[in-house]
Amino acid sequence: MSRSLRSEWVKVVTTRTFLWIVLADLALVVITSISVAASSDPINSASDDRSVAQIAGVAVLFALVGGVVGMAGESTHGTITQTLLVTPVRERVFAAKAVAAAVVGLALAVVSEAVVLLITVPGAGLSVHDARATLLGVLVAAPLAAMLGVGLGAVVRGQGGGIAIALIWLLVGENLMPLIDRDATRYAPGRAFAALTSGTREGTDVILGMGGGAAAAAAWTTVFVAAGLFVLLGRDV
Amino acid sequence: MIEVSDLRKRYRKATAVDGLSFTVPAGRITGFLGPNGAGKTTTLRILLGLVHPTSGSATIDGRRYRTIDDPVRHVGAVLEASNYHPKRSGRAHLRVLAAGAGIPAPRVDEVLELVGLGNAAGRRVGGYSLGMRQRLSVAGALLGEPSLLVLDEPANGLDPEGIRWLRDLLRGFTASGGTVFISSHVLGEMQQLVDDVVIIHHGRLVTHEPVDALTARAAGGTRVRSPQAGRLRELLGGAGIAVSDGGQADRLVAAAAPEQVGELAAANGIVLHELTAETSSLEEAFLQLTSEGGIE
Repeated sequence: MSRSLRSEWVKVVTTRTFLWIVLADLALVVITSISVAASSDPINSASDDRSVAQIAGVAVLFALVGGVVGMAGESTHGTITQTLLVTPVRERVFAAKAVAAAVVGLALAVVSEAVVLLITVPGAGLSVHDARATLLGVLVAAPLAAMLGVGLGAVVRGQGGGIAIALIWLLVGENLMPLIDRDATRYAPGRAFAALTSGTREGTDVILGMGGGAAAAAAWTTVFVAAGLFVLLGRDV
Repeated sequence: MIEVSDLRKRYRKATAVDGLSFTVPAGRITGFLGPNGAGKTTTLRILLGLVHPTSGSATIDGRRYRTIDDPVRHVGAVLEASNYHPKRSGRAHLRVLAAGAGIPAPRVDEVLELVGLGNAAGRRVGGYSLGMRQRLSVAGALLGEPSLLVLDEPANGLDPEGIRWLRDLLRGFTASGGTVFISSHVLGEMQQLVDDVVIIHHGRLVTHEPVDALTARAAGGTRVRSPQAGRLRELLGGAGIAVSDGGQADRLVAAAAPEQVGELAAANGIVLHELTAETSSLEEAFLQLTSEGGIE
């Protein structure tokens, strides 16, 4: 397992893909944080603190993309063949990818939160105490989203397709769901991760509370990880 | 030793491998031949644990690839030259493999030098020629210093110098006790390189034998040169052996084994200046075997 993890790490640092993911994440976080700090509206409630801290939540989306790229990119470039020749036990390959993606996701979350705090605590008077639940939620959500991305990447096999499916679902699918079943929408993957990073215990009729969101996000991650592993184990390469 | 036993692979509508059985002995170079779509690549991928067989087995030293500890240290494989991240350098590609196999990093530069890519090691693989990518594939196969090489079309994209390099490399590999199982469409090259051939067609075994025996059997005749060719022609005809023109007055080709022709000549006091088993090229033998009629 440690060899597979080391191999995954070398993969991460020997292409610029993950560097671009980090830079894109940081660019969004920096721009949004600066715009908040420059705004004339002061932060004057715990709710505002949570909203500002949620800027770091963009790391969850980029962690998801990183997970998809880490797994599906192997199929896109055909490198899965070499990976499985070196480590023919596919469960081990999948586990290493999931762990590596989770670590990258966590690192994205930490860096994003650090940037948000560096800019908005002095610039907008953000209260870390009032935002702590949101900050914790992002730290949990990003690794989960990264692992979900690995599962999705194993199912769809193409990194472009995987990213497209994830974004279309989040931007379009979940916004159409309430037309079919408004209550069930609260349990959809995007809403579950949003609830996990919301920082509030109590849910509403459109979003679960943080605990419910954590449970739903973990459940979705488990489903996608199980599906991805199932596909990888049965697949002819 | 490779052992393939009653191997079958059925896709939805097509059967790629149909009850294939053969063994590849250790210490020899065995060619794996067949027309396009014969099932060669599927068989090799099953052997390497990349494709699941429908039934049967393909093992290396009695074990399925998946169950071999540190497989890269036992088996080196060259499959396709396109299995690379184009933005990764040749050295980085091998570093990924080395890290996964627990092979020390200095070995990466050793094999890059060995395959002649030392000067291009830092360049992105996307900028490599097909021949350079094949050399990188071979470098990956040699990384773990294996005792068995499984190669699928390794000469693809190599120029004549590269083909010669590959031939020398593989001969050196077997001279040091290694085993090579190689699939290729370059039959002229294969004839010079391999000891044995496994030929398949429609997913089934056609023949498995030493390449010399196959080419001799495919020709099936004996070339004779004698100052008494006319007399010998009469004797052979009388014995029911078909004789064809040898191109010159003192030459003929008899449709019989050299032993039979030689004994007949000796028994009748006929002087022979040449008695040679006719051989065909591997390409001719291959085409005969994979045509509908096959070799008698």
